Amino acid sequence: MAEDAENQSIWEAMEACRPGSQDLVDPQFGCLVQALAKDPTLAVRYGWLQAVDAQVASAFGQVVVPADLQARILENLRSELAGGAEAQLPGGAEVSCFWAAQEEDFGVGQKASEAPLGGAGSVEPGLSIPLSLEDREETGARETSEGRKIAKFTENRKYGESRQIKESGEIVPGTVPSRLVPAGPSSSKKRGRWLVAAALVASASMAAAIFLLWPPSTEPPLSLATIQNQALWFAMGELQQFSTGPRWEGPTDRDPFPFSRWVRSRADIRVRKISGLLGREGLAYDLQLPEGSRATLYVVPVFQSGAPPVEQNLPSEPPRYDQTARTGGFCAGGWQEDGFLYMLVVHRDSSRAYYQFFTPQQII
Amino acid sequence: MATEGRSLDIAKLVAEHHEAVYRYAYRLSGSQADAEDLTQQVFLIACQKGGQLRQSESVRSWLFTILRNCFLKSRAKQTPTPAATLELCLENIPEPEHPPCWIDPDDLQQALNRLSVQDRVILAMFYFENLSYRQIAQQLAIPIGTVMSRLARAKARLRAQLFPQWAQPTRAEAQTDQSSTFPSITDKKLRVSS
Repeated sequence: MAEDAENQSIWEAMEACRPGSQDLVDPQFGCLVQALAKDPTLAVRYGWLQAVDAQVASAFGQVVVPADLQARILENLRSELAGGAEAQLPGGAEVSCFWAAQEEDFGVGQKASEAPLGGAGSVEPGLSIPLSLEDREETGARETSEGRKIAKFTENRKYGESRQIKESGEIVPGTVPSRLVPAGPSSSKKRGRWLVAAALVASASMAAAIFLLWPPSTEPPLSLATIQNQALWFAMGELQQFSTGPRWEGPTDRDPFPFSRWVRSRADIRVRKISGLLGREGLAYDLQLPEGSRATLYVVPVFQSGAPPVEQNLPSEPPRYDQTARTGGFCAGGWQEDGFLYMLVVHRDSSRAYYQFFTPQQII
Repeated sequence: MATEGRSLDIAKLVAEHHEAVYRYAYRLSGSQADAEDLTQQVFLIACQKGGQLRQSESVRSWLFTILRNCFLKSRAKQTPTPAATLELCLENIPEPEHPPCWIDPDDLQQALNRLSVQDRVILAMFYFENLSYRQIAQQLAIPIGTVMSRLARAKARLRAQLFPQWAQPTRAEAQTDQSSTFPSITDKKLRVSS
């Protein structure tokens, strides 16, 4: 029973750790850290969970947003804001019911009805919520330049105008930008809208047809973290293949997958073809240093037909050890060089083991 | 973001956050129409309650909270999706294989649609909002232990939907099917004890 409870808490802790976070340092996860240190199998499972979580998190954000959504939201908000019925506030001020209804919700310590009209805390439709930067500047300027109390706000829907009436009864024309108020559509405007709508539908259909004829790649670009994780798992899955290829004789001018200038070439190096890493074909250089440390340098092209794209801003030099992917006693760093992706997977998870595979000029 | 006093720049608010809100809404609701409705609703409420926002840096979190509440309210009267039972043990995590190089966003949505509303919400908070279990507990006002348990179960259910080939039998299934192709430690224990 106690073992089951412990297993459950470890499992829950593993699931609660966000990928790429520092959650493991949370004292709540002490039992998990201890278990991972003791059990390499558990560490591998943890790494697997983290890799899957990273993929799921990435997929979560991949939702296509309708192109005109922003415009439609704003249009609806304008309708809602301008469409509120009117209500009387104490003092005879007339404001949009929408705002009058919200006076309990301002949460700034002063109700709308208590605020002096035209003062800093007044509720002036069109002034308190500018719908764009341009509008805000426009209305703000009127506030400061006029500095007069506005007692009444009315809309003339028939003519699409907004007016504010001062206490004196004088109308301040255009106090609220008229384009923010839905004007009563004339028949020509209606026709125009229908034409615009028809044009939009036609262009959307054309865009859909183009999309179907030339479907763009829907796969998101692979991030450095994903590349490193994939390399890590690829290496762990093909451990049996390590050093099974022929000895590498050194660089030539016609190497299809050249060796990296960042990696030490003094090691005993064997080379073999690989397939499937990041959906690409390439080469694996198996490195074994005289002191016994082992690593595999994978080289695949940045661009390959049918393979998922990679992010454009990948680093052009190896990452520091703390930026590598690490799990199950392995660590992996990735970078790009001259049109190739390089991934060094070191068969030991320590900074010393990682750095000893790089040339001395590599500044870490 | 202008949030001082009652001045809230709605155009800017919408411009900056409508995509994130829509994506979140889509993952929760599973349909474009519902997601658009929810997004509209969120910004309308944001307009109404803009003055309640004290810290401009928490705008997105505030909008997401409104969204979650709207979503839960909209689903409150619907028949809840029965949650599948799930054995809680380490062996339910499948033997490591290569994790997927890429998860199809549509597959993810189909998997989410088969989960309960509660599972979807907690998964969205974890994966989409990238909230820690502590933050989730704080936002949902439930104990940390409950969050960890719910989160672990929800994630396992999601994986079972996404990767049926990795689905592991529950302990009960292991008891009834000794020839399971996924022998677990629990399974071995059962055999030894019998």
